[in-house]
Amino acid sequence: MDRHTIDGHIEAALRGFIAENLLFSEQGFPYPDDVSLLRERIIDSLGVVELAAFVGQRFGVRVEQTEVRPENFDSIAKLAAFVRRKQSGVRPEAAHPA
Amino acid sequence: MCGIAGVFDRSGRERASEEGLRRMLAMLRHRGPDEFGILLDREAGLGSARLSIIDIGGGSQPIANEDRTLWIVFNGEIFNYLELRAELEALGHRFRTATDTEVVLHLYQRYGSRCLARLNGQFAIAIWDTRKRKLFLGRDRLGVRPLFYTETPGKTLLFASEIKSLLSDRRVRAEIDSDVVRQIFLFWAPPAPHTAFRGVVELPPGHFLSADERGIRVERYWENRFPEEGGGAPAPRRFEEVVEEFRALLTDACRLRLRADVPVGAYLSGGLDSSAIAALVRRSSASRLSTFSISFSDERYDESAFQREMASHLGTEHHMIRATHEDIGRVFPEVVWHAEVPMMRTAPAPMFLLSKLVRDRGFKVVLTGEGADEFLAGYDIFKEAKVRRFWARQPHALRRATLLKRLYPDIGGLAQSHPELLAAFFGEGLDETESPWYSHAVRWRNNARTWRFLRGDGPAAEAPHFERLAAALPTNFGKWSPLARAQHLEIDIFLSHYLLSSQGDRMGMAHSIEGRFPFLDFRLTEFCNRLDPRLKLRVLAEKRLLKAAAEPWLPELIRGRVKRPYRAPVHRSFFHEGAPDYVRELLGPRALKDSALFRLAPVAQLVAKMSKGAPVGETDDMALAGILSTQLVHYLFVKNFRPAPPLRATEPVKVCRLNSRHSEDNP
Repeated sequence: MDRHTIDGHIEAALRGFIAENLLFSEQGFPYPDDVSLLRERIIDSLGVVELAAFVGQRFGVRVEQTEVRPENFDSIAKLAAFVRRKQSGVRPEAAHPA
Repeated sequence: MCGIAGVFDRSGRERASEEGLRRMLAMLRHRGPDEFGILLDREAGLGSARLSIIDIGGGSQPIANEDRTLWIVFNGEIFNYLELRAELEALGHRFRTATDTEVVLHLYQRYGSRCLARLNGQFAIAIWDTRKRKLFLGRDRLGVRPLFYTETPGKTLLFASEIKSLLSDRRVRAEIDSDVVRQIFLFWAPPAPHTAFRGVVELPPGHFLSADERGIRVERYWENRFPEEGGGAPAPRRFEEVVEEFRALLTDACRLRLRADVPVGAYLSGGLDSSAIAALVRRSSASRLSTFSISFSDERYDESAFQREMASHLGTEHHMIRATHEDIGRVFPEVVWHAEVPMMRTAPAPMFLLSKLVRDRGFKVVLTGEGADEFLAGYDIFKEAKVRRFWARQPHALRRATLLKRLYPDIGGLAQSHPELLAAFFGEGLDETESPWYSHAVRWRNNARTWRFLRGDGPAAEAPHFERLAAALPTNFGKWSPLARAQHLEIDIFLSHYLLSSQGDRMGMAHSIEGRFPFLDFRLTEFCNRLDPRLKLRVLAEKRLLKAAAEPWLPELIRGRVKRPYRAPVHRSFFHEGAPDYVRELLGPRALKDSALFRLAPVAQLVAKMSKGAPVGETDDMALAGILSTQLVHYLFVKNFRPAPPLRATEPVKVCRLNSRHSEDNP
């Protein structure tokens, strides 16, 4: 089993990436894991792209375009759950074609 | 075109010093290198640095009226001066020169401050009344030409075309106003009348100032206005008629702006606006037109194919500079020196390079397309607001949000393809359609993300800034059409306080180049503002009126092209191999501690992100331009300010001394 699937590691990596590259925060990621990244303007449109690229690279999962949507990306908790589902081979929530 | 400066000790105690004025003028030398003039009258002094364009031999400043009781120094152009002069001559006025400057003075003598409403032009004026011991300053409607002032604790008023001229006086101390910096990061421009420096203010566009021993009064003489929605709208007219009238006004606006005793060129951006102007200039003159444009080595920004197409269509002699990342990084300190204000983008830098090219080719005056996007509704932000209003009527109809994709094809490829994500980005405050800043709320709230780098107690809320701004809007603003409201915010903030200044006057004047803007002729702007919004923006088709009017003048490639905003690369200009040393120095901990405006760790993280070539978003780019330019403002004007040596005795300086009963010309 990949070490990232151990509880908390994925969340910590996501928090670290966002704090350093998107939030430029001195105190790490200062929000709870369920805060909305979009509503709180923690990330912008390109931030989502950066986040998707990071998730793909760091956790070795393939992120489909249709999966980049708020249900999967809008909080640390949702994103971590998304990564776990991908790693365990469960089909995550995909958008219905718009 | 020129630079002007002056001092006035309102307490009457201190004499104006010639040496002081020579220092102030030395800081404006780039604006008017041809000749200098000084008036000294006890407690008051005026100065002029002149770029000779009209009546080159006879137009030396300062200029007096017939009985030498009024004296003027003047920066800019009055395009209808011939008509005004004829009118004044019929009333008995006699003129000594062929200048527009003298016409302004006589008009002031007759009408006082009301003279400003008669002027069709771009100007900053200073008039000294020797009898009333009163100083009058005036500025054009939209702020094409700059004018700043400050007052010392000892009641000495100092004014000048540029702040650096004020700072050459030892009594004026440069101190950066961190609250203004915060607002620049939010709105992309300082809020009128503030500047980046505490205690130094502008005379706002459309205002005049009178100062005497009793006090300083600032009053508005013109305001950008729109009709109230539905209230007494003019009868609907045939579109063709409106197009005809618009075409006639634009043609006349160009004709007046070709008045000069030197050759006039035109900028070509490759877009519709400057192409229309160049075509009009070409049609109104038999001689060959010279056009000038910027191309970019970075093809994401380059428009040179369109520029070449237009130049060959008109048969112009076309000149082009090619701006590279290295060029932009190299000239940025000079750009900030001229602009004197933090900027959230680098787009002024290529304009700085362009004005040098124009001067090197022997030109002093260029016509450009500035203003069409604001008054004829060319910007995407107008469409964005329209889509959000449409969508707000059915917030669950996400399909409506996907219309935004058409506006922002460039924003992150993945994110923009999902209606839910678009909804998340653009949906905040969706239902606040009555808010005065509805059109700009998404942009401004996004800009506030750059506050992460500012020192101060956490990210303060944006709302108080929005409310402060709304308090200064025209009283019936809320009754205008939604498009009119959005246009006004764009005109009042971004056009007047960024485009015409940092990207306009200062970049041109850095190389003594005067820009003239037919779309900003007040007869034309007032005409456009009266029109039904649908004549400007129909559905999501921008600048409908201009497209119809300019159709016969333009090749198909230009008429049918997709509009692209003029922008310049940011992070690649400062982070590349061989990037200039100042970038890392000014973004480093020592310089950041010096200015005390930014938080060290976040800036270090931004620098690290850019250094490793990670993908960089718009907000990051904005933050970088903002932080670096603010640091440059601090370094150039606070920490390391270097006044130029005063004008030398051997230079062409006309000095007029009153009270000593003679005036002396030197040499």
